[in-house]
Amino acid sequence: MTSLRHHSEALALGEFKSLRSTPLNVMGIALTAVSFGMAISALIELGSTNQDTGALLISAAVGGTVGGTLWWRTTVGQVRTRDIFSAVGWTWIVITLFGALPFIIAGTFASPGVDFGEQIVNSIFESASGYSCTGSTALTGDDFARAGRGMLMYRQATQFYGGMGVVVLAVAVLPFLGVGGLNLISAEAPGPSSDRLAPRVSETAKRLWLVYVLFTVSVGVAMFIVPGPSLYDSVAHSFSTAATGGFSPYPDSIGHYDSVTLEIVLIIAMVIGAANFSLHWKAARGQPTVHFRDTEFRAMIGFLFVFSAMATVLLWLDGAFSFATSLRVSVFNIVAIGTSTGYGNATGSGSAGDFVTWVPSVQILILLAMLSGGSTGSTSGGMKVMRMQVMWGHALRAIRRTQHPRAVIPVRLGSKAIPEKIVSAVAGFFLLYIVVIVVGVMAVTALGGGLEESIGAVVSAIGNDGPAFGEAGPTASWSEVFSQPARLVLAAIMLIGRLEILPMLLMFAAPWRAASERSRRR
Amino acid sequence: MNATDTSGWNTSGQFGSSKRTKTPSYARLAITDALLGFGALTGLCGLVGLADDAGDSLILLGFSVIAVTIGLLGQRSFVRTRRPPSSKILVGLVITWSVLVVMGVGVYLATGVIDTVDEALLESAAGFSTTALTVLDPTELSTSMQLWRAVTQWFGGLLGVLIGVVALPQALRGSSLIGRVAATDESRLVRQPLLARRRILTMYSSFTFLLAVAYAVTGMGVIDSIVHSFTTASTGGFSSNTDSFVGVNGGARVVATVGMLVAGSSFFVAWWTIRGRVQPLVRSSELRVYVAAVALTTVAIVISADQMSVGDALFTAASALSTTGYAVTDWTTLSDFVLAVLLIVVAMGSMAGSAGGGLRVVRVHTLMKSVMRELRRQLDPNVVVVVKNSGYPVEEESIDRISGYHVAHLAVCGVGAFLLAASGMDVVESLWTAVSTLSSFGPSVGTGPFGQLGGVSPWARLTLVPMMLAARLSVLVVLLGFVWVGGLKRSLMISTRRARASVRR
Repeated sequence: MTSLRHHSEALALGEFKSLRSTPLNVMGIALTAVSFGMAISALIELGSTNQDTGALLISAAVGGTVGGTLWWRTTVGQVRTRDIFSAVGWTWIVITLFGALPFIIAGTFASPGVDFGEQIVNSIFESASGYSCTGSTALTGDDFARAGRGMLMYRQATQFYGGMGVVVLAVAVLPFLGVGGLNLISAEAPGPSSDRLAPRVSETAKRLWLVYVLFTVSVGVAMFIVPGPSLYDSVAHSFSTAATGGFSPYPDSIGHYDSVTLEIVLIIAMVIGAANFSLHWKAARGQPTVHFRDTEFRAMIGFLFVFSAMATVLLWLDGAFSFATSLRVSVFNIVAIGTSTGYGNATGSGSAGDFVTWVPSVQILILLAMLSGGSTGSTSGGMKVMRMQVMWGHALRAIRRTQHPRAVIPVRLGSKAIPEKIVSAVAGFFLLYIVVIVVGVMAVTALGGGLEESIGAVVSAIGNDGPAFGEAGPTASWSEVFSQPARLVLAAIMLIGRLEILPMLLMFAAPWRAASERSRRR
Repeated sequence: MNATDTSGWNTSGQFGSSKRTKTPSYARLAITDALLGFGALTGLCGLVGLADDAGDSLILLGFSVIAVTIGLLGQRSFVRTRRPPSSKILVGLVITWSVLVVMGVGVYLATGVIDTVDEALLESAAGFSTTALTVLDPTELSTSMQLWRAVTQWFGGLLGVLIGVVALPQALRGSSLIGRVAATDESRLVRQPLLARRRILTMYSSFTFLLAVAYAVTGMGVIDSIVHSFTTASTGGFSSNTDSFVGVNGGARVVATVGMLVAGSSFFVAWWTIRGRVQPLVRSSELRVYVAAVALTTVAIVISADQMSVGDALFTAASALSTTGYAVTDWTTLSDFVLAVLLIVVAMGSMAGSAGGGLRVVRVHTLMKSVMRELRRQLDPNVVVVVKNSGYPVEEESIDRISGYHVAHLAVCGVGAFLLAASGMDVVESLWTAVSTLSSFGPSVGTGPFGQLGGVSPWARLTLVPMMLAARLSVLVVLLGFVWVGGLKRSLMISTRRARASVRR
C-alpha cells in the first residue's frame, strides 16, 4: 500500500514518467529501427514500381509509432539473466510478426487460390526467414514477378537487420547497460561468447555494427563493379550476403546472372561474412594476419576446402558434369551452405547448380555442412565451427578415456585448454540442437511433410541456411512443399536457430518466475 | 569373502588352481573361451541336422572340432591376467568378435551357401552383431545351417550382454551404462565378474528355452521355434521365413512381442523380477522411460497408420525399441511421420544391460537430464544441480563420458551415411540404414522391412561390416582402434625422424 502511494506520488511529481523495463525498451528501439528500413524501402518503391508504397508506409508508420512510444515511455531497468532472454526472445518474435505486416497489407502472396489465412502464414514465414537470415522463401515465381521493387528491397533489408541483430543495434544506442549489456549481445550474437571490442558495451555494439555496415557497402561496391548486377541488385544482394542470409530479388537467386566472376566475388564475401567480426575489427586496427592466427577461422577454411574438394571429385566421378562445372557448382554451393548463406547458382530446376539432383553422397556432405555453419561472432548460423571443434575434442577425450579411464585430459582448442564449464555448456548446446531437430522433424512429418524434405528443412531452418532436399531444394518455394502449420513450425525453428535456442526456450522463464515469486510472497 | 577374491582370483594372481607355467593373457583367453563355446554350439547344430543334410552338417562338425580343439589348447596355455588394462580388454573383445566372424565366413564359404567372400562376411557379421540384415533366402537353407545361422545371433547377443554388463564396466572401472540401482548391493549381479557371467548365461539360456517352448505351443514347427527363440532372445531378428513374421499365426506374434520387449529390457530387470525385488523395478527410471517409449511409439503408429491393428503396432514398436528387426508388415510404406518416429526409436534402442543395441535408454535419459541442467544453469549460473538416475546421483565423469560417446556415435553415423550414400543409396535411405545398422536393428527404408541386402553394392557391404562391429562392441571401442592407428603412425614418424637424424650425424 505504501509503495503504491509512493508510486502515485512520484507520478504526480513527474519523477517517474517512464516504465522500467529492459525488454520493452529494447523492443521499442528495434521496432523503430526496422520501421526506418521500411520507410527507406517505401521511397525505393515510390521511385520504381510504386505499387506497394502504401503498404510499406503504413507499416513504417505503425512500427514507428509503437516503437517510438515504447522507446520514449520506458527506461532500461535491472538487467537480470532472465530479463536478457526475455528481452531478446520477445523482441525477435515481435519483430518477426511486425515484419510480416507489409507483405500482408500489400498482398505479396495474394496469388489466385491463396486465401487470406495462407497469405498471413506465408508472410510470417517470409518475415521469419528474412530476419533470421535463413533464406527459404514462400514466394512462388508469380509472386516474385508481381511484387514491387521496394517490397523486394524491404525483404532484403530484413536480412540486413537480422544479420548483426536488432538487439545489438539497440545496445549500440542505449547509453549504459554494464555487464548485462554484454550478455544481451551474447544472447543474440552467434557463438558461445562475445568478444569485448571496447571497454563500454555500447561502444562494442557500435563497432560491431560499423564493421558490418562497412562490409555490406564493400560487398555492394564489389558486386557493382562486376559485370551483371545493377545498382539495385548490388545493394539488394549486399544486404543478404553480409548477413549470410541468402534472399535474392530473383526466384533463381544467383543463377539469374550465370556469371563465374560474380560467384567468385560472392564466395569470398560469404566466407568473410561467416568469419568472426571481432577478427575483422582487429584486422582493420593494424593486425592484418589475425585471421590466420585464429584456430576457428583456419578450421572453417579447412572444412570448406575439404568439403568442396570432395564434392567436386564425387560430382566429377559421377560423370554428369565436366570437371570445370563440378568445381564451379560444388565450391559455390558448399560455401553458400557452409556459411549458412543459402544462395543457389542453379539456373532453373534440374540445372547443374540444383543440388537436389546431385549424387546422394554430396547431398549428405551438404547436410553435414548445414549442421556445422560458420564461425562464432559472425552473421552465420549452424552449430558454429568452434563448437564443432570443442565437440571433436570432447569425443576424442571420451575415446582416450576408454583407454585410460582415470586420465585427466583437457579439451584443447589450438594450444589452449578449454574450461570444463564451457565444454559442458557446449555439449549441452549440441544436445539441445539435436533435440530441436528431432522434435522438429517429428512435427513437420506429422503435419504432412515428406521425410527427406522434413529432415532437410528442419536442419536448414535451425542452421539458417535456406534450401533443403527433395522437393524443397534451392529452386523451390516452400509454400508449395509444406502445409501451413508445418511452415509456421519451420518459421519458429528458424528463430530458435538464429538465437541459438536458449533465448527462445528461456524467454518464458522470466514471466513464469516472476509470477511464482509473487505467489510465494503472498 | 575377502577383498581379493571378489573377482574370482586367488592370492597368487591366477584363477583357481592353474599352473604358473600358463601365459597370462586376457585377450587370448577371451578368444579361446569364445571358440570353445561357439564350437560346441556349432557341433550341436551339425548333429541335429545330420539327417536332413549330411554335407552341411559334417562341415559344421569339422569346424566345431577345430574350434573346440583350439579352445581347449588355449584353456591349457593361457590364464587370466589379474587386472588387465582396459586397452587389453577392449582389444580382446574386438579380436574375439573378429575371430568369430572369420569362422562364420569360413562356414558359409565351405558349405557353399554363399559364394563370395564379401557376402559371407556381411552375413557372418550381421549374425554376430545381432543385426537383421541378410543376403540369403532362409527357406533354401538346410536345417543345420538354419540353426547355425540363428546360433550366430544367439552367441552374438550373449557376447553383447557380457560386454555390456561385465567387460566394459570392468574396463571402464565402473559402469557408465548401467544405472546406479544396478550397481548397488541390492542386486549383486555384477559384483563378481565370473559369477555374473554364469548367472547371465543361465538366465539367457533359460529365457531362450522358455521362448522355444512358447513358440512351439503356438503351433510353430520345432526347428522354426528354436530358430526364432534364438533370434528373439538375442534381439537378432534372423528368421527362418523370407518375410519374417508376415503370415505367422497370432499366438507366435504375441510370443515374439513379449519376447522382444523382455529381451530389450535389461538383464537386471529380469534379475530383480526373479529375486522378487519390487523396489528397484519401481525405482528404475530407465525402465519407466522404456515402457513409456513402447507405449508412445505404439500409439503414434496406430494413430497415423489406419490399416494397422494395435497388436501389429506394438509388435513393430517392440521390434524397433529392442532393435530386433522382425517385421509383421511392410512398415517402410507407412507414413513419413511413422518412419521418423521409428528412426528416432531405433537410434535410442534398448535398455542398457540387454542384448539389444542403440544409444541405450539410460544414456538418452541421462543426456536429457543434463540438457535440462544446462538450461537451468543459463538462468542461474551458480546453481548446483545434480543429475539423478533412478533417484541416485550420476557422477560428473559419467555424464561427460556419455555425452562424448553420444557425439562419437553421431559422428560415426554421419560418416556411415556418407559412405552408404556414396554406394548409391539416396539421402533418407543412407541415413536410415546408417542409424539402423549402428543400432544393430538391420532393416531400413533402404534395405526394406526384411533387411534383404541382395541388391546392395559391394561398397555398401564393406561399409556395413565395421558399423556392425561398432554397434556390437560400442562405437568408442572401434574409434579407439583409429586412435591406436594414429598413435602408431605418430610413433613411426618419430622413429623415422630419429633415424634420419642419426643418419645425418
